[in-house]
Amino acid sequence: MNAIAGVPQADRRAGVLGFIKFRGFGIASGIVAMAFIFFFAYPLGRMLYLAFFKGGNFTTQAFQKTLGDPDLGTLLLHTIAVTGISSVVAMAIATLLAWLNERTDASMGWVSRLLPLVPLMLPAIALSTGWFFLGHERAGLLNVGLRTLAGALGLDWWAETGPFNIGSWPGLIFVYTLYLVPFAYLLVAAAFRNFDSSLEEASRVAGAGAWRTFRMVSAPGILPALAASVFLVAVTALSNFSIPVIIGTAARVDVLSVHIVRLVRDAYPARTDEAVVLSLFIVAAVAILFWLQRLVSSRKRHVTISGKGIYPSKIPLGYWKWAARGLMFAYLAAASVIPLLGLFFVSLQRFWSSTITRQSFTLDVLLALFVGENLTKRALQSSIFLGIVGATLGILMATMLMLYVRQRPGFFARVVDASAKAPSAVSHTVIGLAMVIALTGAPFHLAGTLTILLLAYLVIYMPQAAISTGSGLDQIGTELLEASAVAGASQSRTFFRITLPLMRPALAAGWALLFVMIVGDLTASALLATNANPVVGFVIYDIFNNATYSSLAAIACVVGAISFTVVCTVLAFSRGGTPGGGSR
Amino acid sequence: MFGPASVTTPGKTASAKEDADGVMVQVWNLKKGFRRLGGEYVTAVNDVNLSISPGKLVVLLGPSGCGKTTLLRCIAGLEHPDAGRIEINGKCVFDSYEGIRLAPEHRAVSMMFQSYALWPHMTAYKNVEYAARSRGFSKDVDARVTKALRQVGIPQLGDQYPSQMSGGQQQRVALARSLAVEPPVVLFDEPLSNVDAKVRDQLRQELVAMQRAVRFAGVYVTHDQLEAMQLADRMAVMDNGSILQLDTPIEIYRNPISRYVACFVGQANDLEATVQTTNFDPSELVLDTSFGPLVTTGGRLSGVAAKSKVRVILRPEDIKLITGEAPSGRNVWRGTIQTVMFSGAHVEYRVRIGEQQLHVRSDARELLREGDMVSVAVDPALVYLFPDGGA
Repeated sequence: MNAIAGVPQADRRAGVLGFIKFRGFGIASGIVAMAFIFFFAYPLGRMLYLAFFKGGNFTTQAFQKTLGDPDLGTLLLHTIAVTGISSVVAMAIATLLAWLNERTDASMGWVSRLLPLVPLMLPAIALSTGWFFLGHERAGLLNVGLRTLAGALGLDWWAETGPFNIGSWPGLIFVYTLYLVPFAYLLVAAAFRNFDSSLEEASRVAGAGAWRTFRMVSAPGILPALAASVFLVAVTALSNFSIPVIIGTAARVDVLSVHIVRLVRDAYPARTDEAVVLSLFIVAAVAILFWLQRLVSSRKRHVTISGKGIYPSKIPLGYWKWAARGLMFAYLAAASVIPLLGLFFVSLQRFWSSTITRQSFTLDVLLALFVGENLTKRALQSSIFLGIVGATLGILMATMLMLYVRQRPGFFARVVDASAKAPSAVSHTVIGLAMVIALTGAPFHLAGTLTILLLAYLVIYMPQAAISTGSGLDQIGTELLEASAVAGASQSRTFFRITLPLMRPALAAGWALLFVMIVGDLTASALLATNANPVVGFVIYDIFNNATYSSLAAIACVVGAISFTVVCTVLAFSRGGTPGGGSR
Repeated sequence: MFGPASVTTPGKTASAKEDADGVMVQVWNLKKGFRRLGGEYVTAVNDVNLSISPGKLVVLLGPSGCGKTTLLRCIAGLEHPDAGRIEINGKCVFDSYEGIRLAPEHRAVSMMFQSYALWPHMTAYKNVEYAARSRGFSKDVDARVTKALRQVGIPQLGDQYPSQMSGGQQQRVALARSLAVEPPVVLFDEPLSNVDAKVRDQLRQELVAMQRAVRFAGVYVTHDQLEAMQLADRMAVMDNGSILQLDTPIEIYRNPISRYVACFVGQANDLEATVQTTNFDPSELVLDTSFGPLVTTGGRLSGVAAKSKVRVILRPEDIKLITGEAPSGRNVWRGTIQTVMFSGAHVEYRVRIGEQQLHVRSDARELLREGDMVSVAVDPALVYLFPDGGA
């Protein structure tokens, strides 16, 4: 029994030492948690306080000013219309795509995996600028192409403008929908996957036809999940800033998120108080949407999760299969490759115009992002720097917080868990605004620094980091860690040899997610960056207002290319990771 | 939970000390409770005493939620008890009074998990090697790992990842991982409940052989009473966090300490009865049952009051079925076969006697049919008597 030799003496010191090590981790995590909660809660509290207390006295002046604005009704109506219509359309398309992929023989596995990642591969900022260049009614590439083609065929239906106009209500809804479909798809496809297909098979065996089965079994089964998804998609739509600022401006449709930023950045003097009151509208709307979502999804009994990995029999579509696949390709192209090509094309020209000649092509605009000394180059550099630092710090913090939450159940751990996920329920615009108000002046004086941007990114994107590391941790069954402890491995050995290797895919995915979102961020960047601390989002917002379109296309193109590369690399990396990976 | 002294056998209570050669695991007055989500307080382990000698296997048997797994995890160091003391191999690993609480990695135990808990990013070989190196082995690790894999019959699977193996193969890797370090104590948390019946039987045989060869002290948790009786040197029947009876399987089967133990271990007909007073022989007792008088000489009868309600336990295999001419005598009744379930080596019958239905097990040589009239006979010595009420 020489194994006993390898077991340390069972004295009290070992116990105490283990206790201290555990405490050390707990204390470090506690500090991280406190700091995070402070930088999330303090700016919001400060913002609310300053909006309603002037010189220590309570005032409703800001409210009166906002509610007295004659344009308020239009603003709210437009916001609701854009968000509502595009959410519903996106849900319908996503449901169709999910059904095709999960239940019919048109399904293609890689489409199912790729579709939810589209918004990461091409950030909203690049998607909307891309379509702006493609669909502009006079100089849009698609329009120019179609008009040239029509001219060659001797048709002159469209003289100078059209046939498309992205700067319109349908155009705005179109781009919103392109952006929202993946978010809806993720939820609906999961609902289809979780819905036990043996229930559908039982219905077929009981004599019901395919349509009756869909109507009486499948549809009621996933309907609650669908309804719940609509609200979550609407929250995403409400929070978006990139699409309304670029397409909405062209369409002269003003929505809340853009209006708030304009009140702070473009109005002189800044109408911050009114912006705060408007941001409360967003907070209220999000709260209502979450409440509705919980109301619907609490009827859990409808969704059954089957324990066995049964593959449902696929419904044959015949020749429609190719039409269905064509539809999937069309969506993927419209949401990724086509706008990216549009950006690339425009970035190759010194000036964006409706007449394109061979002489007008140049690499100068793209090269300017990498050589020489200019604002766009500095912006790109600091965005990538912030992306690397922010993603690394964010994932590190999220891992600490989620480990802490799982290891020490208790009241404070629940507070930490809730606050790490809370920023997703507060619009990015609101958090950015709160940081402008609370951190730019005394005592922090962070105006014009990279620090304030880093803080904003860490707070805004913590929910995504927490969810990916948390689910990574949850995938490692506790028994795997217990088995290591019982096998005699120390806590640190268990962490480095078992926990970390098993979490690696989740950590890599989380890191890429954070990096891409930080580099492509427009909301916080437009509010917090200045000429002293320029980032990509700020430059895009700035250039767009100054209408130097080639530079805009170039920087959006580079951001799109970076995101695309990072996401694809991580995708390849995490799939080739552990052989036969995944814990049981 | 314990019956009155009158119906228990003195000296058969759960004893903390074992007289055999030394003690490998010793548990004193262990207590562990936790709070449910609703705030309700649950006692998972309630004042448990247990000792295990080197080379002996103790099986903890009980329904789910009886605290057997919690007790095992307390010994492993995966749960922190509220009170008590645990010694493993002569060293104190937990003592609530002295504030000693050793981490699992500092206890001289190995453990097998119900879910196998093989690390999915390591091959079978790496899984075993990791465990060996974690226990401080640095010389001849390769020989040790290879030997362990050969012992469990999978020397060819060293390069396979867990997801490439069947459940039985995975559990063999887990066994190799536990035994490669030649641990003095091995803990088993329902290790065979996830593999199919055939493999389970085979692994059970091999486990017994392995335990005889390596001579570790084992604690084995299961809710399968057959598995418990086959594996155990001694078994502990648990309920509500307490050990009700700790003894050899045959002693528990033949002398159950309570109606609960009798019903949980093996199968039982559990009947209501009332004590008659008309009998003058002090060594036997006549009971009134729904199908007539029943005589018992099953010991421990003194002090049972006349007219008091009692429970009678009859084991299905202790009831004899007699065809043809009805014999006369005590404890013989006429009945009708209601259902027949042929089970290969034996047959399960349901026999109706008046209003009462009895479960009878009989060998399969002579198969009776539904509706057959039979005589049912019970040896008075094999009638178990327990106080009414409670479990």
